[in-house]
Amino acid sequence: MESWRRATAAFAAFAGPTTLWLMVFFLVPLGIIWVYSFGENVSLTEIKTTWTWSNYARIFEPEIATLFWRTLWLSGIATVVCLIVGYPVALSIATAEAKWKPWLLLVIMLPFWTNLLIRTYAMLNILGAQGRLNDVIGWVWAAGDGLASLVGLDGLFGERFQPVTFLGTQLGVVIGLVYVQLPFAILPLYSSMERLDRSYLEASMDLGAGQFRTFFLVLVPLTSAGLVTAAIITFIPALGSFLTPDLLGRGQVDMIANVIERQFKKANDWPFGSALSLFLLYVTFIVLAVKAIIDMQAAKRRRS
Amino acid sequence: MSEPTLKKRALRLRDAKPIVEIRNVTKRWGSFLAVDDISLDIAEGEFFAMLGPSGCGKTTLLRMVSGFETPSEGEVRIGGEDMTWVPPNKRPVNMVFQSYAVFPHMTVRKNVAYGLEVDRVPAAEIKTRVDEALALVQLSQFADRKPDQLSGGQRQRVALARALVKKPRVLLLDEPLSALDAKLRDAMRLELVKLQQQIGVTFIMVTHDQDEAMAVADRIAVLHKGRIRQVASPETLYQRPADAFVADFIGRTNFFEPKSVRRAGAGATVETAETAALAFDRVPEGDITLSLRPEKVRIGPEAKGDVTLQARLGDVAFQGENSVVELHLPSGRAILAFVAGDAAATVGAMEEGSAIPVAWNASDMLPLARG
Repeated sequence: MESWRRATAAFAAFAGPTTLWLMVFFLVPLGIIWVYSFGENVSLTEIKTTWTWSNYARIFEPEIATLFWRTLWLSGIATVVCLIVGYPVALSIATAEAKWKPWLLLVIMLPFWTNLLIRTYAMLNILGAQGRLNDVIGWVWAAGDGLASLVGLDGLFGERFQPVTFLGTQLGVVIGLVYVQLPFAILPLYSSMERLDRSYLEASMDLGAGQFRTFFLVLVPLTSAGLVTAAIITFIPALGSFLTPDLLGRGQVDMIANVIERQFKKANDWPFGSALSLFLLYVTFIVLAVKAIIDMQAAKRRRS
Repeated sequence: MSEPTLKKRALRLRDAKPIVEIRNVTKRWGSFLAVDDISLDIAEGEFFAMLGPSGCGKTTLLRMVSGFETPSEGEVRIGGEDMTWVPPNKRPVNMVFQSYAVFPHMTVRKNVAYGLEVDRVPAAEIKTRVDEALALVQLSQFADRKPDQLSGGQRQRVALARALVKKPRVLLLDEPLSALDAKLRDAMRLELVKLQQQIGVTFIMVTHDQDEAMAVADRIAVLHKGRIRQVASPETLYQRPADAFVADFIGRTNFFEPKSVRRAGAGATVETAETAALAFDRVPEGDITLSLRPEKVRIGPEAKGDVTLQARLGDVAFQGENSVVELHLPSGRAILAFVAGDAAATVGAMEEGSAIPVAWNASDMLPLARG
């Protein structure tokens, strides 16, 4: 391929529009936000850039710090659940017959064809007090209650069926996050399993290991790159998720994005909102840096 | 190994009890018949090769011995016990995979120890056995390396050590040399033979390379389209092939199509475009062809034999100790001849297309059933 240095005009023609687009609609707004984050509100509509660190200092006040921890915690839990649920799904697609694979992958990607907002409203319907999930739990309760009274243990499971509260709880938000992020976890896991030479697993079995040990001693270590990618690709969008905690959390399980939104709207505190946004960005960078370090060390371990 | 010990070994193996017994095994994939009613006994201590072109069912057969496939019909017995439905991790056999499948996330030592660790062998014993196995394949100084710091040949030896450390009753090798370059492949052939004689474990090797099978195996099963064509020692396969397919697959040969076959009892008189009527004592049933090995063809002014012809010289390929000569017979058929020594020099000095006398003995032509 010809070096771009020698074909400057062609390079500019191809790279120019994209670069311009990113400059105007990404870097410049980001720069504005960055400047705002060092500003102070002087009136309802005016922000004065005073290069103060106070906006950043406020992040570490207990109220906001707690929210950050909750965001990390809920995203972390959702990531772990996604990996645990996604791994066997990815494995069964990777080991399915070749003619089924495209269809199974299609099923995984199908939710992307519907807008997230609509899917989240659907989740409201499912998780509500009179929702579908509670219908099922109620039915199971009724069956259990019937069985209990048969053996003379009336009221073993309580007098009356109490619907489980999902909406407005951390559980509900985690369910929502898992639902949204699961396809993103499955796809990298699937691709790492698809690439894996099947004879590693056969060699393990041949050497006397059963399914269980082959899974944990060979399959999981050899797909660890896929696991890390899946974790990152699940965790980072979860950190910034807004709609899921907003609708499923009912304002009681706010994550950091909800707080940021409030600064720009109700609270009209753009400088603080900007500082929060950038802080979230830095946290994301740290997560990515950790992955880069893990990758580098893995490469080094292989070499040494 | 000298000739008498070879004989002794063959006799000992003939009397040995079978360690692997394959009984009427059939394997179907949908409507495709991968293995078609094969029965085979493999003796304890034998170096056995399953040879055939790709898709002949040899790998499927090996995988049924290892336990990765189960037969659609029939029975696989190992050490006298029915193992047809026993999973691979419970069979007294170990396998060297075509891709070696050396675990990339473990050191050489960890790889070799893996099979013992999953068997919960005490740590002290694991250490001695792993050290022994690594010494056996001359990898002791590489014990703490990771697989991607090893060459292809070294990785293969890790795979061998990892399988042998389990003290299997049978070692299965799936195309073990196909991923190595030509020089290394020749060296590893010899090493495999030496190793097998040193430890005395039964080896079953699958290969599509007839030279490889001939070089290492005590006996070879030639497979084609899921069926066994012949099971015999390399010498027998070469000198007395069961049919035209085996003759063609093992070494090189010339075929002569008969113009007429007049049968008389077990024998027949066969006439071809090149030869007058020749009488053979034993001729197989059905459609036949005559096979003549290239080294049986004599050429040059002094060439003598039952059949003599004037041919025209075609391509001559010089291959070191002998030359492969293409000869155009008056009938239009082209045949190959191997010539060595003075004859090779004579032929080498001749122009392409010049006339050359050719001769061979009728007894060197083998009537074979067409494969």
